[in-house]
Amino acid sequence: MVPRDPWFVVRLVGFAIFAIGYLWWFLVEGLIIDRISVAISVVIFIVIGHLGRPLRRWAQLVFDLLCYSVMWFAYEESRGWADSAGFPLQVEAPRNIDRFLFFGTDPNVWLQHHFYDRYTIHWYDKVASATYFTHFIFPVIALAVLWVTSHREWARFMKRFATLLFVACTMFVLLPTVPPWMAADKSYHYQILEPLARHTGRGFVALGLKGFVNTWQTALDWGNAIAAMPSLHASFALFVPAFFLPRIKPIWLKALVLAFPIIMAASLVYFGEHYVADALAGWIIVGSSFLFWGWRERRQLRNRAARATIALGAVVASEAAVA
Amino acid sequence: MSTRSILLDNAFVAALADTGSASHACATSTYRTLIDGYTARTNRLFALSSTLAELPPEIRRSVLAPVETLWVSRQHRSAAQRVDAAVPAHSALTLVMLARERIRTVATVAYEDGSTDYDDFTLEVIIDEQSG
Repeated sequence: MVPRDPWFVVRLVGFAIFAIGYLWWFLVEGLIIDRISVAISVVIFIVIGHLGRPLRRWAQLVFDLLCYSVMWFAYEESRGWADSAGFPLQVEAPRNIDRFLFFGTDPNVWLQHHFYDRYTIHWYDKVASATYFTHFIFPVIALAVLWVTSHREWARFMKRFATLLFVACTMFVLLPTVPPWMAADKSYHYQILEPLARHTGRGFVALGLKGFVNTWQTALDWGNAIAAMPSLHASFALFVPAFFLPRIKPIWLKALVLAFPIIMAASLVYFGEHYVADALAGWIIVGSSFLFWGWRERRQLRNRAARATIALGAVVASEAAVA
Repeated sequence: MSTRSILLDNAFVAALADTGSASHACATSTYRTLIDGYTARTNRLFALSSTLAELPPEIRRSVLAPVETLWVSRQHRSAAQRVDAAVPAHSALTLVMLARERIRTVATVAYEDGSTDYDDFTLEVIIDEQSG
């Protein structure tokens, strides 16, 4: 019979140890959120997945990691440039788009008036908060798992993902946008919305994950607040389900998966983090990226099939001529 | 829509590339059916790097354009030497790669008695266009 891969069990044990370690870290320190720690945990996961693989796979991995690092470095840098590039700050435009879409109502204000309770954390606050924080986990898990299981699928994912980040970063530079919480905050001079509470971490703290929220607050201090259009939270929330949707068979599960980006968008608006327009812009970019790469891949596939068919036809024709 | 991965083995690719082979017409006919599946995205086609390396580059770029490469390394060759079955070396390597890459379907050329090197294994074996 065929000898088994002796490294298969080693990789399985490695993944089990990784999972236990990750869970322990999650319970003691909170979720890993900063880019360096996320990168380290992803690298450990991928290295485990490559234990005992041929050298060629390792060389491919090094190249992939370089591309991946360059992508995130460019993303972080461009978020910084958005501040200094000098393009006019968009203050009223996204709010006006929201008002147009919702017949004169500000969705951020409406949601907070109807659902936000300063003194009570409701179940939906926890759901919204948990949904918001999946942004830091889902894409990374998807990338790491694809990296280990199928390089081809990882490349398909990355092409779409890098396109999304590239377009988003370009927009951050060209269209620096004031988010709703800032537009409503008294410490800024805009005040084009009624006062909004920025209560994003509250639900997560109520779930007992205070450490993670503290880390997130620190990350916010380093982040670029006016890189709000498009919303990457909304984009990623659609991106990951959309990529895996063709593999999901049950209709009810497809519907559930597709409800996720809607819950994310509603959460972002409820927290005052983004306008609806930001989320829609993110979804449009995701859709465009999928359409573009889907078209490119179909064309590449048809071209290859056509080359083969033509070559086979030529062989048959030459054989007929000889006969 | 589920996609089936199919490994074109050494004998199949050789028959496809060699117009003088007795199996060429049969392999070509089968391959056309596989390409239809490839175009419909129901088939992914693979061949071993060791198999493709034996062919002229123009065949790789034309007839075998839809075929993806499975890279064979020393550990695969070493495992192939330990395959416990009475099959030629290239078929043993194919069996190792099928197991390592979790591919369940192999396209091959049958011997005159209709048997193949993969009959003793739980694999889907494509030997002509009817069985694909």
